[in-house]
Amino acid sequence: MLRLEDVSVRFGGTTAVAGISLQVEPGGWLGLVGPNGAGKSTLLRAIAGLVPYEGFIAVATHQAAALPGPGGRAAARTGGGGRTGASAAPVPRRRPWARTRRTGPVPSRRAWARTVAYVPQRPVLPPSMTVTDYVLLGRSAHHSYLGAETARDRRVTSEVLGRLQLGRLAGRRLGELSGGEAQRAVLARALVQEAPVLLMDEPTASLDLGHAQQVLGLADELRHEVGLTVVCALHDLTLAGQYSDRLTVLSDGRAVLSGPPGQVLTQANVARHFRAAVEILAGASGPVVAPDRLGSATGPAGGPAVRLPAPSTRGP
Amino acid sequence: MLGPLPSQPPPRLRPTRLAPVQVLAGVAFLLVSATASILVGPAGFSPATVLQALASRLPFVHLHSGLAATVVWQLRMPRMVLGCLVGAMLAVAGASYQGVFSNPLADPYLLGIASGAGLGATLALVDGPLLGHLPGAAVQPMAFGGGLLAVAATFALGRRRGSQPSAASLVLAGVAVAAFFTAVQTFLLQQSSSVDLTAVYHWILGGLATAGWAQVVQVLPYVAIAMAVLVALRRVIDVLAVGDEEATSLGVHAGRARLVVVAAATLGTAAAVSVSGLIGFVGIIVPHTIRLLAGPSYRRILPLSVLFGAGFLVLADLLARAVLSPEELPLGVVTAFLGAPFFLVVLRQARQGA
Repeated sequence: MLRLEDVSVRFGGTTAVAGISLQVEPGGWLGLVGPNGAGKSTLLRAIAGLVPYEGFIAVATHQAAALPGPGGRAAARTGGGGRTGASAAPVPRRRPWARTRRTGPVPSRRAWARTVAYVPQRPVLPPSMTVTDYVLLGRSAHHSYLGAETARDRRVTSEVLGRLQLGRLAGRRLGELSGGEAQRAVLARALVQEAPVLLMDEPTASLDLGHAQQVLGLADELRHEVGLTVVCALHDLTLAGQYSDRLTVLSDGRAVLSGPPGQVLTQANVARHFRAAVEILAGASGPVVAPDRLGSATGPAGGPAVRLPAPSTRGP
Repeated sequence: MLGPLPSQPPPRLRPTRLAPVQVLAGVAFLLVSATASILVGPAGFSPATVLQALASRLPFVHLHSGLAATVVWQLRMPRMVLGCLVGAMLAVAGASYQGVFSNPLADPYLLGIASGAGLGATLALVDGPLLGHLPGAAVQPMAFGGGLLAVAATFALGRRRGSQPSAASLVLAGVAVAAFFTAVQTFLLQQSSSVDLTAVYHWILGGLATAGWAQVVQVLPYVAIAMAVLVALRRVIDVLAVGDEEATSLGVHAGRARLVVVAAATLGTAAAVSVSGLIGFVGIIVPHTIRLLAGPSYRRILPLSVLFGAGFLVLADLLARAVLSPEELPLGVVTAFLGAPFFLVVLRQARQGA
């Protein structure tokens, strides 16, 4: 379980994230949505332990996080297990203003890398590195600091590559992959960390719709298989609604709205928080957010726009 | 093709590792260079004489070879060994810097060590108002100290309050420190006599002409420790290829790793430079040639840099001695003259192959 209490991030004089508290159950998928600059990426980076923050971030490690297949390990190594086994995120670069309340033991960076895996918005993909070498980097926190990867590291990596259909690409260089393949490699690197929490920052930003669905679908299957806790920032509100159990809308660093996608994704909410004119259509797997042309009261052909009733609950 | 992805069978992984054939190639290159370096010299001994002289100092061997033994054991051997240490150190330091600064142009002198050592040596060689006349033996400790001081200054300037400096701020601070130290050095040279100028000029061009066992003993501990640390960090340097932030999210503290690499590389390079002067190009050309031939992983580049860096510098020193014998060419001239065209050939072929 991932728990945030009153988390704030400040850069110099500006507040990027202001007092956010939230909780995601094991196996849950929290979607972070909000306009550009709302603080989604910063919040994810704070959870990943990459920016200094105030407040409290903890992952209770009683929930098993194992990889697909029989070789998965039962629980993350941080914490002693049990309901009280919580570990707070490390706070890098202490600053005078970074008053951090922390309870329990503070894990090392390596321990945190085994607890929280992070898929950045624009991952660095060294073009001549092979897919195998790249995905194995995700095991860095599992083998000894200076040592080589172990047989277990290789087995976990091999399983994840097979699961993500990267088996035949294992020897390829990253520069030779298509956008969808590269994004799967990034997801694979995060998954071999065997962390109970997976953070994804716009994992579909550079993908066409089909590949976007593929990547999100894989993450979705895995969270059901192994009880992965997912926090995912997405610009596409329809996709965010389809995969998330809950959506939190961030605006100016604050969580302004939180709830099931069917309640959050209404015409009024989108207009208010995104300053966007949309139609909300009832899709089979959740509300479909369809943009309207700004300033036009009529449809593209000049006839009246088709208005469908907004769904009150999430579709089947 | 799209839609839900079925699982594939887990593939057989082939992570990048150092291949035995690569190590053998490096050892063979080093052995050939070292042997040639021992056999060739202005004294003109036959190979048989040299071999006899070599054997004469081995335990339980009683051979009399007089002058040849002295030349081989007191001049050629220490020079060859020192060439190995300096070449290996510069190549490994250059490779490590290229890794931790994600900068293909990084060389061991990136953070101002050359200008610091140059200023130290200049202070020792020039009869200046600052320190007066110093004995010749002061050059090495002064160059060593100057190099360390310059990198320490770079680190202090590149630091932001309360945090590790980023790669970019370190490189910029290095440029500033190098410019400042070079300015002071130029001022001192401009004020000095032509005799002093020649001495400084010779030191800057680099060479192993003054090599003896004393210098070997002097640099060996620094170079051995530095190389051991840098080669041990080869996997960590591989992780840094994805950038500081992602490396951190994978559990590797990028700033700390960079600090350790800079400390080790500085110690070893300062020691090497103090006995050999400023030998350029080794730290760039050797790692890049290895990278083009053996791939981008530091698991290969760093161990192979030890072998090929040592062999390359010994070979360059051999040419420096042999081309205009008994005159000697400056070693830095030979490394650039040999290395640059060879590097261009490898670069072209790698591009065509890609």
